[in-house]
Amino acid sequence: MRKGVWTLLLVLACLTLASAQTTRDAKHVVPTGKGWGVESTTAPPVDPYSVTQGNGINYHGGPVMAGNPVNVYFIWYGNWTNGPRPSDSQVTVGLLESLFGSGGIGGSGYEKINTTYGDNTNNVSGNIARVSSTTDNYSHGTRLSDSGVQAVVSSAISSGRLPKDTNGVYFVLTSSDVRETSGFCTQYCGWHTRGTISGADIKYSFVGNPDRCPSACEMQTVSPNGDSGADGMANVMAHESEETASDPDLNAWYDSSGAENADKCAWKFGPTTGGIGNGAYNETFGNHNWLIQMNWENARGGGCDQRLGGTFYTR
Amino acid sequence: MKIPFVAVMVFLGSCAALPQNQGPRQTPGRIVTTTRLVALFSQMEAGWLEAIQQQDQATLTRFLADDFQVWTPTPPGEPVPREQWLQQAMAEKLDSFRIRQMAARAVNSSTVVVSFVLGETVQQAGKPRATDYFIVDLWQKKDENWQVTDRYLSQVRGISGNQPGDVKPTGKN
Repeated sequence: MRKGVWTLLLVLACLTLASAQTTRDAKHVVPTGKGWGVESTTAPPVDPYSVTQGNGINYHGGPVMAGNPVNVYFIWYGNWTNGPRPSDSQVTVGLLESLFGSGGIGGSGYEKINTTYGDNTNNVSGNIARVSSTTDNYSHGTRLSDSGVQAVVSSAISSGRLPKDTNGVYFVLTSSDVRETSGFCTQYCGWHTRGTISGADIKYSFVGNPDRCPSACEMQTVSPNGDSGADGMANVMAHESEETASDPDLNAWYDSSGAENADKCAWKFGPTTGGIGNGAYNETFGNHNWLIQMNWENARGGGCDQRLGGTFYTR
Repeated sequence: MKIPFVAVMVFLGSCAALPQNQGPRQTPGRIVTTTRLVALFSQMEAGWLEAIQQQDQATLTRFLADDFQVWTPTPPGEPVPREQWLQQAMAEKLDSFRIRQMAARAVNSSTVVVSFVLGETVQQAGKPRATDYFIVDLWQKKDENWQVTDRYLSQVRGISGNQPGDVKPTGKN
């Protein structure tokens, strides 16, 4: 009998806790002082952390990257001096380092869309900045597997060429003669994941030079910076960086079909200056114009926009 | 029987640690940015299957070239012609479908080879029957419209789990 009472009490307590977790973002009810509450007619107070549900994307309990800024590291793999295509060049290196440099994408209205994502202790800051870069002269040849990509990151860290940083995103950026054998150009243009490297939870991403397959991975070959490879990579790198910040361990933010925030807006740009195919752009960071896909804002019902609080567009 | 206080706290702690919203996704190895072509042809193939679900022949025929034909291993060398295949498709009771592991390769600006695994559940003799097919479609662009000229189809077994190139559920299947 007493065992049954204990069991009942435990189940009730558990249900109460679970209910408290799932209803924290329900309607905003204010006390009346009369022993019951009523729904407020004013805006609810800003939740300290953005575990906000009901905007087309769901939180699954994992951490976000709360760094302010989130650090970015580049590993230029292959030949980025005079590779087989014109974009395998230091011009591309300069453009992409400026994108993630001072006055770049970090802290922009675009990147601030990511501040609508959080976990139970922190929000994504919306600030992201490149710390340092290194090169890798085909240590695994021109055919890279997924495990080869991880090995490239591991080597850069273990050799001291890049620091070990759990608040970092390591981009492996391959020149156009490198084939990522698991489906670059036919299935994907880039990806992100995590791995335990040197005993730490390291987040890393692969993005290849899309001049290898313009019809698959570039929106336009006449691009705003006159470098279709760099402009194509900028779009994919923005996508991967915002997904990594909001879902670094692949267990935080994604929707019921498994799509992360940037997936929900992939290849959707909103209004542009100039026509697609003629150097169109929709963002200006620093001294450069860019054509970069929108990101999913986890607020106002959810939608793709070009900057936090902006207009939602469907294409 | 006394239940130790520590055990109660451990139990409550485990309740509090329950995820707030358990989604269906198993932790995958990586999350990809699909190519433009995969994004485009995912929509087209899903539209094709939705047309079958809705018995919408007018929409379905828009995806098929005039000389569309379906090739299967049995019997090899004898493709199913367009009209016969349409008749079969319209008679099918397609409950649900899922497109997985899509890859798309442009042969040139007006020809794309698309491959994927189609998992579908159809009603057969009043019972649901689930089957996986590996499909290769040859898409050709004509007057700004994409149509399939040839479909190569083979039943497969033992394929499961999310893979790169998976197409997200439409919510209609």
